[in-house]
Amino acid sequence: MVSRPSSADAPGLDAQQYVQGGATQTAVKILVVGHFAVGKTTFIGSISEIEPLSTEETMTRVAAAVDDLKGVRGKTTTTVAMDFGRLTLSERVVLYLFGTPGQLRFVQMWEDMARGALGALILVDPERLADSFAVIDLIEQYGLDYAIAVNHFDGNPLRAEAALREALDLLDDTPVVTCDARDEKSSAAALTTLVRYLLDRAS
Amino acid sequence: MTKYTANPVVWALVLVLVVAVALVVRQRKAALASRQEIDGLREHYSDLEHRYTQSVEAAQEEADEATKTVLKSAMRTLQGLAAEQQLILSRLQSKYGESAILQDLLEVDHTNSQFGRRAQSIAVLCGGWLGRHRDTASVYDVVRSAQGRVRHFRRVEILSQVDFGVSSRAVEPVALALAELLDNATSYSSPDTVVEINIRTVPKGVVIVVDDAGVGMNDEERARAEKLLSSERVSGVAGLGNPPQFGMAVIGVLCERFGFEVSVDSSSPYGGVRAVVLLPHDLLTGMPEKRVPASSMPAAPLSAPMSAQMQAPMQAPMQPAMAAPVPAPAVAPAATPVESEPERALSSTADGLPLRRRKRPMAIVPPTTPVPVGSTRSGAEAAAIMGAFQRGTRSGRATQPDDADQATSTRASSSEGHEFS
Amino acid sequence: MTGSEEFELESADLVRAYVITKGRGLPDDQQLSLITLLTAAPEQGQRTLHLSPEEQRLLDICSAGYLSVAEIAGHTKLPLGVVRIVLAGLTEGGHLVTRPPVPRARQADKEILLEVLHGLQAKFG
Repeated sequence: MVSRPSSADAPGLDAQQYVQGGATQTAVKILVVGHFAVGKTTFIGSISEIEPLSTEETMTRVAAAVDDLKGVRGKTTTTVAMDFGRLTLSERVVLYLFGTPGQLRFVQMWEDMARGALGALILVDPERLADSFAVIDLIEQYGLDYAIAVNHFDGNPLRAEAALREALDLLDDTPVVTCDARDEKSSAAALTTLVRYLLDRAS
Repeated sequence: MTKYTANPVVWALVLVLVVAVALVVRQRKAALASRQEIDGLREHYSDLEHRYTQSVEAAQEEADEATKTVLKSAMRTLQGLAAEQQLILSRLQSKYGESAILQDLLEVDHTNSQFGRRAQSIAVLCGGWLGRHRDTASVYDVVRSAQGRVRHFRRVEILSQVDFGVSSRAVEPVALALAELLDNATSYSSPDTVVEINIRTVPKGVVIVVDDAGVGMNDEERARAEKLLSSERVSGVAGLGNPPQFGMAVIGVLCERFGFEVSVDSSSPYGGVRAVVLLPHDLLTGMPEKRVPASSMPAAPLSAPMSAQMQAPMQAPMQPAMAAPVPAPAVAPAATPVESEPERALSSTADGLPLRRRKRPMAIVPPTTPVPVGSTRSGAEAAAIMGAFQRGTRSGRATQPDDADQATSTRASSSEGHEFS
Repeated sequence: MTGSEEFELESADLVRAYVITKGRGLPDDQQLSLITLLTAAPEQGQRTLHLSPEEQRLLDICSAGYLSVAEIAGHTKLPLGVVRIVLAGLTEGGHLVTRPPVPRARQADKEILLEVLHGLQAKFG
C-alpha cells in the first residue's frame, strides 16, 4: 500500500487514471516484447495515456546496513516484472500494452501475459540481433502472431530489411517496420502495422 | 557420735557414698565431653552440608549458564538464517508475484516464520537476540505479524482495530509474546473454532484481547501459567518440562523486560481462555506513516553465495535450440534468458548477421489467436511440455544447473512433440 | 536484545504476504485475468469494519471508476498474485464488481481488431 488516500471524500485515484466508460469497455491486450534495454518501456511510455505502470517498482534502495559476510555498503537493486500502458481507443475498446523486461523469469508469467493477447510487437535492436532470438522463439512457441519493429537509434546504420528477415528467419508476410520508440507517431505506426497484419490473419 | 565412728558399717556406707559421688562426677564429665564432641560433629556436618549445597548450586548455575550460552549462540545462528531466508522469500514473492509459484512461496514463508519464532523464543529465554530492528508499526500490523507466526493463522480473526502504533523497540517483543498466546489459543482449541482478537483503547493504553473456544485451563494450569508469567519463574530453560512449554515463560520474560502486561486469569465467553495483553502508553505511538509497501521489499544485501544462488534461476540456460545444428525440439520457455549467451555458437547469414531458426507454436496458450494448422497438442505433447516445464523450474532452483544433462533429457522427452519446420 | 547487532541488518516485512491474503489461494485466471476490469460495488455502507488496510486500499483505488487488475496491482506495488487473491476475496464478498474480458471468437476478434485499428488511426492520425 503506497499511501493513504489524501482525503476521505476522494479516496480513489485521479479521475483520468480510470478507464473511460469502463462499464461498457472491452479490454484487449497486445504484448510489446524485446530483449533487455531495447526500448520497450520507452515505446509503451510514448503512446500510453497513463503513466506507464509496473507490477513491481523499480527499486533502488541503498542498504544502510552492512552485510554480515560481504560488508558491502549501498547495494542497489532494480527489478521490474512487467510494465504496461493503456490506450482507450473508443467507447468500446480499451487496449493494454504489456511489456516485459530483459530476463524472462517464469513461464507462468508469460502464459498470463500471452493468454488472450491479440498479438505481439517485437522490438529489435539491429546491433544486438542475437539478443532478440529467445524472445522471438517464445512468441512463436506461444503461437502469437507478431510484427518486428526495428528500434532505430540515432546514428545506427539502417540494416537492409532483407538481411534482417534472413537473419531472423521470418515468414514472408511477417511485417518488419522501423520505428523510433521515443516518438509517439512512430510507435503508433508500428502498432498499426501489427494490427493490420493481425486483421489479415484473422480474415 | 563416737559410737558411730567405730561402727564399720558406717565406714562402709561412707565409702560407698564417696565412690558413688566419684562415679557420678566422672559420668557427668564423660557425658559432657561426648556431648561436646557430638556438637562438634554436628557443626562440622552442617558446615559440610552447607558447602555441598553451595557447590551443587554453583555447579547447577554454571551448567545453566553454559546451557544458556550454547543455546543462545545456536539460536542466534538459526535466527539469522530464518531472517535471511525471510528476506529472500520477500524478494522471490515480488519476483514471481505473477505466477502460480507464488502460492508455494507463501507456504514456505509461513513455515519459515514459525521456525524463526521458535528459535526466537528459546533465545529470549536464554537472554539472547530478539531479532532485527523494526520500524514503528500499527498495533494492527503487529497483531497480524504475530498471527503469521503460528501454524493455524487462518483461524485467527481480528475483529477490531485502533489508530495507534507500537514504538519501534516494542514491535518485536509484543509480536512474539502475542504469537505465543495465539499458539496456545489455536493449539488448545478445536480446529473448527475461531480465535478472536479484539483491540481496544483503555485508560492505561491499548489492550489486545485473545479469546479462544477451547476447554480452558484448570486451577493447577492457571496457577502454573501465572507463576511463569510472574517473576517467580525459574530463569533459563530448566523446568520447562518435556516437551518443553516455552510459551508462558517467554511471555513472562518479555513482559518484564519491555514493560507490558499479559494476564490469562479470566475465561473467554466461548468457554476457553481469555488472554489480555496491555500495552501501556509509553510503548505506544501515533499511527505510523506507511513506508515502503508491504511485500514489494527489494532485494536486501545478501551474502555473496546467496546472491549467486538467487541469480541462478534467471541465468540457468535452457540450452536454446539454435545451438544445435540439427533440428532440436522446442523446450518449454521456463526461465529462458533473453539476453544471449555470448559463448553460444551461432550460425550467421551471408551478411555476417547472426542467424535464427523459426519455431513452431507449442499451443500452451489456448488458441484465441489463429494458430497454424497442426499445432494441436496431444496428451504426450502436453506431458512433454509439462515435463520440460518442471525440469525448467527444477533446474532454476538448482544452484548449479547441469546444462548438459538438462539439455539431453529435455531433448529426449519432448522429441516426439515438436520439430522444426 | 543485547549488543548493537540488533540494528545492523534490515528486517523483512513485518506483515507477511500470506497473512494479507489470509491464506487463500490464487483465483482462476478466467475469473481475474490481467485485463479484467473492476470497480467498487455501488452499495458500500458499513463495509470498512472488518477490512484489512490492504483491502481498504484496493477498494479505495477501485472506488471511482474501472481499472484493470494489472493497473490496480501497479498502483499498489504489491505482488500481482497477492493483489489478485485479495481482489478475488473482495469480489466474492460483494465489495467489487468485475467485467471479465469478453470470450473470444474469430468474428469478435476481427471486429475488435477493426475497432483497434480505427481507434489507433483516429488517435494518432
